[in-house]
Amino acid sequence: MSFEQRFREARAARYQEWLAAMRAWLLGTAENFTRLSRGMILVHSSRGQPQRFLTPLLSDVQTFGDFPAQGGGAAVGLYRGTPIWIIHQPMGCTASQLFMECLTDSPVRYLIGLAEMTGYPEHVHMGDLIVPTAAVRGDIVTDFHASPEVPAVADLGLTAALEVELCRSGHPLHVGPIFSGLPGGSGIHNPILKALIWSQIQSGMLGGGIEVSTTLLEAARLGIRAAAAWTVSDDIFRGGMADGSVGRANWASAWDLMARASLEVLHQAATGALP
Amino acid sequence: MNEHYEAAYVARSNEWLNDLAQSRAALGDACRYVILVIGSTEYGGNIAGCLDTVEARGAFIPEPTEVEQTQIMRGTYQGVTVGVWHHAITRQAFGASYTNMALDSLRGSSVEVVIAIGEMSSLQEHLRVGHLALPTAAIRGDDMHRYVAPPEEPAIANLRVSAALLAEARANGVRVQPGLVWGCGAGAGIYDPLLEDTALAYCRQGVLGNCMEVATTYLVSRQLGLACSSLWLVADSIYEPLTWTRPVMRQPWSPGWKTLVHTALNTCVRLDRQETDRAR
Repeated sequence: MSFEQRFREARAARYQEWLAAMRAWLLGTAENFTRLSRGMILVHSSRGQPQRFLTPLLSDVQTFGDFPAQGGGAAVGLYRGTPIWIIHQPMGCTASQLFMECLTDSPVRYLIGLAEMTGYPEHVHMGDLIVPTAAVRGDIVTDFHASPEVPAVADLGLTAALEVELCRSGHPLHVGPIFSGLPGGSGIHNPILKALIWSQIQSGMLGGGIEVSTTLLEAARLGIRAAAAWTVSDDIFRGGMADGSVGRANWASAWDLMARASLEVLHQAATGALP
Repeated sequence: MNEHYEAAYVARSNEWLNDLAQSRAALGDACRYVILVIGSTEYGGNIAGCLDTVEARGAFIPEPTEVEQTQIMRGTYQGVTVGVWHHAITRQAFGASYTNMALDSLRGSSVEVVIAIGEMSSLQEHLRVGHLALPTAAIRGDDMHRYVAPPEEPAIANLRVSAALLAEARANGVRVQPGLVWGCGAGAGIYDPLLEDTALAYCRQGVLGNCMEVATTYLVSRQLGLACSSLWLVADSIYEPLTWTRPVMRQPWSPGWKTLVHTALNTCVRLDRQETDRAR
């Protein structure tokens, strides 16, 4: 066997082993992969365990691994009779791609990502809701799987349904493109990014959400219809959530609304009722 | 650029940097050396056990969080004050974004030397699970790639710290392989089916393997004026079956991890003595 053949065979074997190990970590047990439903919610968050807003809305909830503590584990429950799985990743495009890779050849067909982001223009406030229609690809991770000319676009049906559901609440809602892939480190507050962010505001970007482009592109690759709903946790013109006038209560309220809307939309998807 | 925007942006940047500065309070002002653990706090207790004394503990997030364990420690080892800094604020988290945040929090501190330790995937048959590697430079391919530094800027380890790490390992009979690594931010890393050709090419070029966060570690450290090098434990290899006992993200605390920590600590002592000798 040539060196190249040997390398390729070894890599393929390792990938399958890696996939099995990661699925076990992601879902609490490897066996859960075969139990996945068509609808899934992926929470991107480093703090606050916002995935806890979802489970009270479900019946027959089962949790696996360390759920809801961040760092592995999953939950499943019924929403109006529809089984929906919840997984949660810590932060960053790499982790997001890892989680999506684990859904390769899975039964998942509809996925909604929930998270929080930085608002860009002055009319976007902390606690507002944002439904991204598309994401500027700012990270290199997406380049591994999709050439640069491929846009990261949310599924139209899921996005429209999310907008309808979130509008019902009367909560401030913005629908449009965002920038994605900025570093989670200093994020938009990185001093060297000032000019870039300004140009993005001029281009109509609503904010910066790290994992959106990776999630949307990976979903497209895997044949999963995906959309996202995010809340604004900090913004350029007013500062961070903890110091702002809106504060924690609005954060919790926004997460509750996103949880309800995403479950309802996935139920609609499962029952063929999407717009 | 609009003046209102500029003022707001600068204010937010300053707030962020001030928050980060407060987060390192547990390190105090006497700490010249930091061991950056590329990982979360699972091994905090074990690492504390490697120190002679633990003088202070702190959390990166100063609010109640699900992360119960200490994220920052300051202690002494053979008379040298050393800080231990876990890069992740969330259990079992990984990635260059966390590294950037952890290093940014050292901005303007008394810290001068950072030794990062973590786990890697090997691309070379001779670099087996349990072996140690020292990345002298990294191919930039993580998710921070576009914003940390211009693409032409190489991610290189500090020579003095690297030499001290190698000397310390050699003195203790620890075999360490120095060389070029890949800072690959793909979810599946070197096992990604769509990166197979790249991985094969890098293998042929002698690239040791993937240390996901190393490029950002070196670039951000250099920007902050920190002398930085790193030491990585091979957790898996393309040539060896994966034996992970998931569901956990990292290798269990093992002789390999203990060697990583002790080599890093001994290197801090070596560097400190070099400084003292030089001062004389």
